[in-house]
Amino acid sequence: MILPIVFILLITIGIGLPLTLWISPRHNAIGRLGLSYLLGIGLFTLLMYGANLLGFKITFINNLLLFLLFFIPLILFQREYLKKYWKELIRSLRNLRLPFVDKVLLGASGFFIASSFINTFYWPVYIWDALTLYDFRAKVFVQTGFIKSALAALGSSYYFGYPLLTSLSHAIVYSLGGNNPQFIYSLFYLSLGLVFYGLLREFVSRKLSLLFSLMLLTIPQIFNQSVISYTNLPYLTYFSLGVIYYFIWDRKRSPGYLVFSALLVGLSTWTRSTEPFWLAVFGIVFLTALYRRKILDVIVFSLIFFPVQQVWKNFQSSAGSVGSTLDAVTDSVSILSISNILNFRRWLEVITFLYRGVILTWGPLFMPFLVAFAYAVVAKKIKNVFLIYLIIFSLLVMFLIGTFILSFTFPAWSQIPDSASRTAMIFYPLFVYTVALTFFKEDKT
Amino acid sequence: MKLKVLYQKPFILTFLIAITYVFLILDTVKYPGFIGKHFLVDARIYFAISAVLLFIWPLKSRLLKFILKTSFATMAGLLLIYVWFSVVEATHYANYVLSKYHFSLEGLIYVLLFSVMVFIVPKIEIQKLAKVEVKNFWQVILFLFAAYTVVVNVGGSLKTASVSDIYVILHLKDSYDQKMYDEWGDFYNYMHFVKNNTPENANIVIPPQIEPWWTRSGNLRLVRYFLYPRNLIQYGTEEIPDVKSLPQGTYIMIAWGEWGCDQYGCKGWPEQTIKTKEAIYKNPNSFGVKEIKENFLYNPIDTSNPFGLLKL
Repeated sequence: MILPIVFILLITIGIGLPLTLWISPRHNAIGRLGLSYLLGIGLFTLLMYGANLLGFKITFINNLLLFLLFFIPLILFQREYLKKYWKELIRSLRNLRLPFVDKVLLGASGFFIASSFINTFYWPVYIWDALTLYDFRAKVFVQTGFIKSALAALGSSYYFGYPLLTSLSHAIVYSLGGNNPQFIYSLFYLSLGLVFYGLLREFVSRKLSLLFSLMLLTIPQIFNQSVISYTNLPYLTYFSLGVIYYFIWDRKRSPGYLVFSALLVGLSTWTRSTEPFWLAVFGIVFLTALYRRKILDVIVFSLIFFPVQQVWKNFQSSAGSVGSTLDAVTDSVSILSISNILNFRRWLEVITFLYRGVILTWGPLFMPFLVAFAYAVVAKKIKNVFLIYLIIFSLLVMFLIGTFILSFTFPAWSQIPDSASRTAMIFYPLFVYTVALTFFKEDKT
Repeated sequence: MKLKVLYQKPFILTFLIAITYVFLILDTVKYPGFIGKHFLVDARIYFAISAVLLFIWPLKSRLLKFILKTSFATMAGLLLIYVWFSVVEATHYANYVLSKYHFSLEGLIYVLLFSVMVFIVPKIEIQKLAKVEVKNFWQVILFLFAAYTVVVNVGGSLKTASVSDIYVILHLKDSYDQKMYDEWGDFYNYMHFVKNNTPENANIVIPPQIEPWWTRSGNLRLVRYFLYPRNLIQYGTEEIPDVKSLPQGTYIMIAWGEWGCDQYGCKGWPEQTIKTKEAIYKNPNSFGVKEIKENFLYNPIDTSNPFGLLKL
């Protein structure tokens, strides 16, 4: 198992890290490490997919060649920045003098991250959906060497239901002789914590960043997802962090953050494609660009986001598995007829379902979010955080309408509260981040 | 009453800490949520209020100082108790402690966390924290919510993390098969048995995806994970339509249902008499073979061997 771990770390440090340095030379150093993993693994699986379509089998040698193909130019191009980064990171870690409370907060987060790794290194992939889909596809890819033909041979549209990020990550591990790819999810958990901390540090003190990061990492649903091979944790990590990067881009115009946002939201669609949350984000990017008269923003976002998003859509279309996004939107809108919209009983059923299945699982976190919003309005502080509230409320409305539409298209909709609850996990980081910012933001802009 | 006046009455905080201990212990020995149900306010809310007040309260009574001084011993004692019972739980089964000792391990976490909080908070530079971070009433309210959220989250995740970590430490030498057996039970052994006794290019007929088989042996996608690259054949009817038309060498799984058995009763599969070249029966306690019968007439009435394989 050592080789797969080393290779995944090489992807992180050899591709992800120089890429983040190239895109944004100024970024919180700790957060950058987490971001390096997210971009590294996400983009490398996209490259694997592309190479496979060109006829290169999924093998260790081909993966290594693919790695070197991108690693060498990136290292040559970024070597000065890399040296500087490591030097500064090591120096700042050496000089780190943490107060007692910071040590406690860091230690508590460290405990949960370590616990996640202990469990994922120990337990093999065993959870139902992973066995029937995500991990199964990975094993088939490695055995046959090819993605498209292998999925076609399985003869069921079920295997085209979810994009390939997690399956190809598993395939990396298997192609290197590993037998347990679950540690990938602990790395997502760690990265979520690191990047979230880094993004909080843009506005609040270290102590509070540690506190709110701990608050996020200890959410039972997130911790539980970090020890199983589901797509929900990677999805929420990519999506929610992509949203936060966009918010910071809008507030501070930090170089590269728009690119990070587009990449992360794009990679979220390479993890799960059933939830159209990206539409809300894109809509807000578009409207904000119009409002601020910065059309270039939406152009840059689109140029990065759509190529990533279309990869899986094109694959599904070429396999005859699903229609285009436009078709899906048209189908959904057609359900929203006047009679359906005026079906108040159904609305009530949907709201009750979401309250019981989702809002109650959000637990005490939803309350601080509402308090923070009330405070922002009452204290007239909404201006600084307006955009992130707008995004969150748009996503909430989208979630409500999406469930309403689902209630007409999927007869057993009310019997899957767990699924709804997992889908709603994307709100956790957004709630925590918004609460922290509303109350404790030290405006450095 | 003004906040300043409250500051002059340190017994309030002392009383709050004492009552929180009592409430958390009551939640532990009865059930988590007991206080919330009978006294309207969840015990963990008292925890959060105590935490916030300990952060910002400048005065301490003698009793409070005593509580704070003994907090390390309290914390260490509770930690030992918690770890001990976590080991007990990890070596048995989920909720073993509750059924055997009649208290909730999850509840005990909050007592432990509370003692940790009481131990840690006095070590924080209170003045500085209060001055820098707590700027107004709203922030105190938010701290209260934040503390409550952290308490609930840490408590919830800590039980999962600690029990599973201890389980891992106690079972480090378990093999892949043992771990999968822990998760999937006899079904894993059955799949392992089928895999061991069929070649990779085998054609295998599996039960239909209807109850009582559909959740396990009759779930094509699930069975496929364990038996790939073998070719699986599944019919939509309980009876195999035309056994004679199946090619020589085809395997048929013998399986026992598992869905809704308590409610509707269970039955085995296949449900028809089949003339076979070989019947391989699984050992009920492992994935090994119990016996092989050649040129055997399979009869569904005989349910003495609920799991096995028929070879045509």
